[in-house]
Amino acid sequence: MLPRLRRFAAGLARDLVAGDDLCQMTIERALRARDQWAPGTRLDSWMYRIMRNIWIDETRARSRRDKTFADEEAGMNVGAQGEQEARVELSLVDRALAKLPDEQREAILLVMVEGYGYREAAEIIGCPVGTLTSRLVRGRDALQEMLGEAA
Amino acid sequence: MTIDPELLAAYADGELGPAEAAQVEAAIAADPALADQVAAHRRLRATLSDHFAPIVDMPVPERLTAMLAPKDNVVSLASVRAAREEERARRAAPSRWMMGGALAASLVLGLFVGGQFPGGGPIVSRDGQLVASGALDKALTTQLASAQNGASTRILVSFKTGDGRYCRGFESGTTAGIACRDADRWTILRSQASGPMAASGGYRQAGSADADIMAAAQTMAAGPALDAGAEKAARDTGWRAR
Repeated sequence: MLPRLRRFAAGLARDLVAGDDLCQMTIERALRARDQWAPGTRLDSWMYRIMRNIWIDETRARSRRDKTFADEEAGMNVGAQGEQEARVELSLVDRALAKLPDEQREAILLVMVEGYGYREAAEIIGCPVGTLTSRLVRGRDALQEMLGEAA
Repeated sequence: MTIDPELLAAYADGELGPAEAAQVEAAIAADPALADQVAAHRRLRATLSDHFAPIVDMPVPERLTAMLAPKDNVVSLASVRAAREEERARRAAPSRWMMGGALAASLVLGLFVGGQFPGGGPIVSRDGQLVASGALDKALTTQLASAQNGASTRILVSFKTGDGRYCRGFESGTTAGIACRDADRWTILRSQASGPMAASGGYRQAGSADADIMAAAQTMAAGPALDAGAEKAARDTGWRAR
């Protein structure tokens, strides 16, 4: 499960290293709150929910802190070891995802990358399924527009 | 009918029931533009999952795995605690067990195992839960503690919890644990290393995993361990909770 948590974290945080920080906070909180995990429910969904809530809290705190900074080129470089062409293509996807509003990005990541069904993804986010679907569609349309032929 | 983008996305993601899916398929057949949109949706899905796939194959940094690694002093503390609990359980009537330790163990195990080994081992992750698989599943379902000469999995004890579920303590090569019956599967509530592998560090004596499991079983059980007759009756009725 750890590699999958890292993947989701990297997508949320837009950066692999920042994602690992998020993973670390998630594991800490999960271990502290382990009595709240109900046996018989999905451990992975519970962990994703914790991670997502930490991320939301962190984002709010950060936007209060650095209102004056604008990190336009924030993007992660997954597979930076790869070929030059691959790197360009990867960072195109990164940049497109980074431009999405957080609520659309998390919906896209949960369904299209993590492979959750709509109902499970909505439960992790804590929103109605209809809300998830419309965020998904808006995020998808924006990505397709930005990526053009590449997607 | 009109096909809105949400419905089309749900179709492309395989979220629709057969009736709705058939309606969308009929609409797609009549309108090539809709078919293009479905194809674009699936292309995007493939692009995104390919994009993130390398992360799953990367080694997890040590700063993360270290948070979950069992430490020798923790193991040693756990066995001290188990021994103390066993002592207490022997003296007092078993109280409702909080299972905190077992949860921590399966949380840690789940983070390591879950999703990484979809098949093969005796314990697999299914729907985010750890369940017994293969030979372990078979032994838990069919084997009686009273008749198991030479079997590779040993059933240590069978008992019932306060909510009527059947649970069994087991020892299987390198793993010992407690599994409880839920509908059609054995959910692993506790699992730990056993056998020669667990002796590294010199803390564990042979058989100490058995003692831990028995101590935990005593605290979980609502009454005495099942005798041979009760165990056979439970097996013959499919371990259904009563």
